[in-house]
Parts: sequence; structure tokens; C-alpha cells
Amino acid sequence: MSLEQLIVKCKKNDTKAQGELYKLYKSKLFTLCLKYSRSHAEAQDNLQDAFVTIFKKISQFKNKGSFEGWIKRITINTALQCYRTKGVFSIVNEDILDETDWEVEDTDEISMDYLLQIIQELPDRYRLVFNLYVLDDYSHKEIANMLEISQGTSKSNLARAREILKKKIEVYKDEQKLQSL
Amino acid sequence: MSEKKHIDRIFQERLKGFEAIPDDAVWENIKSELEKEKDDDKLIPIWWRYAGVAALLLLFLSIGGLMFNNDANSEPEIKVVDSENTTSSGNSTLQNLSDDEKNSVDLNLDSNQNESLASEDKISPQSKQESNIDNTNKNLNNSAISVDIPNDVIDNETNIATTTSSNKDLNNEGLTNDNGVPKNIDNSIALDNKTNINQGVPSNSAAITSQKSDDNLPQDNTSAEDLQKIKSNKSLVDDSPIIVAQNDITEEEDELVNIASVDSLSIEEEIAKIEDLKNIIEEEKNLNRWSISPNVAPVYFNSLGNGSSIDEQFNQNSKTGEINMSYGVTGSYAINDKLVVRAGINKVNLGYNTNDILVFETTGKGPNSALLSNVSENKNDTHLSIVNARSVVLDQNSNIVNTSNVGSINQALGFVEIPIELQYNILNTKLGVNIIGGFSSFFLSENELRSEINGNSTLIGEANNVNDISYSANLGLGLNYSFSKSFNFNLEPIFKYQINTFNNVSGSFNPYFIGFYTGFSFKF
Repeated sequence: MSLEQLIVKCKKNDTKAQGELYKLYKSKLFTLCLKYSRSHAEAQDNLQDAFVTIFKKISQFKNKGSFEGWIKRITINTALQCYRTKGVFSIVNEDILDETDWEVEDTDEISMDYLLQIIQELPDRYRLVFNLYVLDDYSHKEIANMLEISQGTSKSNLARAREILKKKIEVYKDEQKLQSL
Repeated sequence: MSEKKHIDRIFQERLKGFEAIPDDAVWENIKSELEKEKDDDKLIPIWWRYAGVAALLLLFLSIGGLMFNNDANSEPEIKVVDSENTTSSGNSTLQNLSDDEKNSVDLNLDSNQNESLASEDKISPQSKQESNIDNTNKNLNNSAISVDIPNDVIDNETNIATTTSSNKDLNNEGLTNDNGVPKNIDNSIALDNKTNINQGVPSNSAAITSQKSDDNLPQDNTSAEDLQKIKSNKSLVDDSPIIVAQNDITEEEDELVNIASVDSLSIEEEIAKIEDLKNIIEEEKNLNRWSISPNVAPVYFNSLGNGSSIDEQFNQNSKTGEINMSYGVTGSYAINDKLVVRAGINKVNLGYNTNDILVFETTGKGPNSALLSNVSENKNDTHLSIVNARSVVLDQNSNIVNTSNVGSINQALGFVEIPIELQYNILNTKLGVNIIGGFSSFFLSENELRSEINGNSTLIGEANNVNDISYSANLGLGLNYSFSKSFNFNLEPIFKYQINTFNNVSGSFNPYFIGFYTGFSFKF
């Protein structure tokens, strides 16, 4: 069954088609949720909410643009919505950092799990801004609009996120070096 | 030794191919949530079916009610015409008697009454007894029966004799055929009862009350000569039915009393009936007039016509109504068992979506970035521009516009509603039916516009064309089920057509809402 047919059936609330669509996108969207969430459990909750929204709003999808892009946006919005309602957007330092050197030594030693872990450990807004800007290609303008913050705040949050991540990677590498000695 | 890379690139590259698999339980949860949604959706069509049935019922009942009322009003008019016809017919004695009866259609009955009148002096003592009965209509009824059934109870045999003889005479004269006689009498009785209820009761009953007193007894015993005089007087004023009727009062009394004397058994029954009626009236007096009913209602808001309350450019966009809630309390006072005045206070939220709109962010506030004509923008450092998605597609600007940003504008309004309504009870049984009509005043309490795109809701601002005070015309059908004398369950689908809600709308935007008000009422 083609994706178009699957979408048509989902629009008619066909449970089987919904199951197929879920299978098709669950891992992609779950990865997305993992990056935007604090934990595995929270990511599963977000994934669940996102799919419910997708199936509820699928009739609004008019085949303009990519379906994957559409469901990714819904998933991201769901993740953001969860923080909007929790009201955690106003806790961070807004000062813009002077540092602009974001270069780090790249090694294969850094596992994917560790990278994901340090993203999840970021304060909520840093994590969201970093994900949106770096991993999902949103502009600061768009981020500012989505998170109801200013563009300056978005830039500052991104710098803070990078700083924390860079430090953690360096610490990780140092530990690796120590272990190998 | 590895080279240095920008931290962003490290994350981008390493996480690119990363895919994690969620627990199976997630799908089960999604499935059960979707099932719940489906059940909720099913509920709405059921409501609509009920609404359809209710609307049909309302239509039939109101048409039926109108027709019934018309019938009741038209009958007395016909009677007046009849009485004039009979009055103008040749024989003066018959004329006068028909005046007594006022609305009697049939000459046969008139002649019978004539005979009874002639012999009235003989039965006057008995008539005194019978005059205790207030209801003259019932007496008239009995008179008709006496024509057909010879009655043992009557002491005065002459009365019967004359009655039967006159019947014969009339038949011989060919005024009516044999078969027609009883039928005609029946008809006239039916008509008489009704007319007397509407017209004759006060004068008749007054006359009878006067007969109760002994002073009036001589009047009862008026000689045939005296009667003849009165009759001739009446024939002089034939042209004016009203005056005739007044002149006739004495005769009428006599006749009624006479007629009443015919059947004492049925009179007792009538007394019992009257007492029953009195009891009913007593019960009505003890009616629980006040009641209070908290209610809650799903309300569906939409508009008639192609217009927009937000901006001219959205006139042709499709609009979908939203289902919101209204809750409040209504107090009512029953004027009688049919008519109830009610007033209340409700908090009602209304909302609708304008579909196919495009939202994008702009900086600065140039002329192009001016927001919608009827919207005051939310104070924010980001500035939103909202345009009709259709026009953008037409302008072939779609290359610069991300079509996935197409969504809808949700306008949400909250009001405090004060309804003042009249309720007319059609059915007052355990399961009651009533019609509700009236109006409401609305005081604006919430006003918000949001863009809804891909499940993301962003505050745009508030509409500046919503009046602080607006009104609605209400029409509805009420169904109630009484658990006890003082405790009812109510279901009232009410249509409310809103007036003066917006002060500047484009096109024909006529908002309305339908609410299914449910609740319990407590009478006291």
C-alpha cells in the first residue's frame, strides 16, 4: 500500500491503516522525541501524544509538502507544548556568551547514547533551542516564535547549550584517555 | 589523532542515522485514546439526531397548537350568526326562544323549549330545588335529553305532554325530517355548551342565583300572559341580538330551571363533576410555582451566510463551528399550569474556526504587516502576519511560503448570558413537553484569537469588533421528566440567533448557536 493510500485510509479512521502508519514512522519520531525530552519515559509519552494528534488532524493534511515533514512538526510541537504547559521557559540565564569557538575534537569513541544522554541532561529550554536550531534546521526567528521568546534569547540559549555540551564531551574524552592509560 | 569539528556537526552526523524503537505499550495506548475519541465523536451525531427529532416535534406541535387555538376562537362567531338567522325567521315565539338559547341552531329544540316554557308555572317549585346548580350549560344539556327520553322523575306530566306534542307538530309541519330530529338536537347541545362557556355563563348563572331567593319566586310563576308580553317586547328589538339576549334573561332563567328539573339523577352527576372541577382548581392553587434548575449544555456555534467576523479576505473561507460548553442556573415562576416565566444566568463559551489561513512571522510593522482589520494584536516582540492561504496560492507566491503552515484561526468568545424566556407547557404529564421562547442579553467576558497550525496554537490577539453587550432571540423545545412533584429532569434544545454581537463584519455573518440544555429542576 502506498503512503497516499495509507493516509486516505487513516483519514477514514481505519485502525489497521493507523497501525501501519505507526509502524512506518515510530522509530523516526521516537528518536525525535528522545532528543526533545528529558528521559526515555517522557519521550514515550510525547510520542503517544504526537501520534494521537497526527491521527486526529490527518484530515487537515492536504498533500502539500512532505508527510514526514508534517508529522515531524507535529511531534516537535507536541514536545514543545508539554513544556509550555509546564511553564519551564523562564528559568535560564539570558546573557550572551563571548565564546565563539565551538570546535571540539571528533572521535568515534563518543557513543550515540552518550550524545543523547547529554542532550537530555540540558536544561529544558537549552535543549529545545539546540535541537530546533542544530538538529532540525529551524531559524532563530522561527524558534523565537515557537517558544514565545525573543530571537536574542534563542541565540543566547543556543550558546549556553553548546557550551555545556562541549564541556561534557571534553570531560568524557578526558575520562576515556585516563582509562586507556 | 582526529580533526577538530564544530560541535553542531558532531551531533548532526552522529545522530543522523540514530533510530530508537519505542515500547509496544505506546501503540496500545494510542489505540485506546483513538477509540475514546471515536466514542466521543459518535456522541455528537446522536445529539444531532435528537435535535432533529426535537425540531420536528416543535414544528408539528406549534402548527397543531395554532390550528387548535383557531378552532376554539372561530366557534362562537359561527354561533352569533346562527342566532341572528333564527331571530330573523318568521314566528316571533320561536325567534324569542332561540334568542334565549342564543346559539341554538335547530328549530326543533326551540320549539321544545317553547313548550316547556308554556308550562313553567306548574313546575316552578321543583325548579327552585334544581336552581342550586351553578352550571347552566349542564342544564341545557339535560333539556335536550328530556326531549327524547320521557322521564319518570318529572312530577309534572303536562310538561312531557306538551313537549311531545310540539315535537309531533313540528314534524308534521315538515320543518325537520324524522331522522334529523335527534341528530339536530345533539348538535345544538354541543354548540350550546361551548358558547355558554364563552359567553352565556355570567348572565345565566346570575339569573339562576336570583332564582334561588324566595323573592324571585313570583317571577318564576309568571303567567303565560306575562310571558307573552315579554316575548312581544323581544320581537320589537329583534335586530339587536345583544339587547334581545338581555331582555331574555328572565325567560332564560325560567326555561333553564324548567329544563333542569327534568332529570335529577344526571344533575347529581353534574354536581359531582363540578366538585371535581373545584378540586382541580384547588390543586392548581397549591401548585409549586417557583423552581430553580442548574443546567449544563454543549453548545454548537456557527454562522449563517458567507462572511467573516475577522477580516474581509476570509469571507469565502470555510468555517467550522466548535462545540463548547455553557453552564448556569435558571429560576422560574409558574403563572399557571401552562405558562412559566423564567430567567437565569449562564456562562457560555463560543468558538469557531476560519480554515485555510497562512501565518508567517514578519519583523517591523510596515503597512504590509498590518494585521487583520478586526483584530488587536497581542503585545509581543514577534509579529505575525496572517493571510488567506487561497490568495497566496493564486499569487503564485507559494515558493516563498511553506504550505505546511496553512492552518486555521480559532476565534473564542466567552459571555455571561442572562436569558429571559416564556415557557408554554403543551403536555403536563410525567413526561412533559413545552415550547420556550424569549431573548438573552450577553456580556462579553472572553475574547481571543489563536492560530492553529499543525496542532500548535499561537495567540494572535483579540477581536476589536465584538460588542460588550449583545442579544439573542431564543426558540426551543423543552422535554421534562418528573421524578416527583418537586423534582424534574429537563432536556431543552434551544436555538439562539445572535443579534448585535459584532459591530463590523464583512459579508453576511449571522452568528447563532444551538445548546442542549440539560439539568434537574427543583420546585418549591
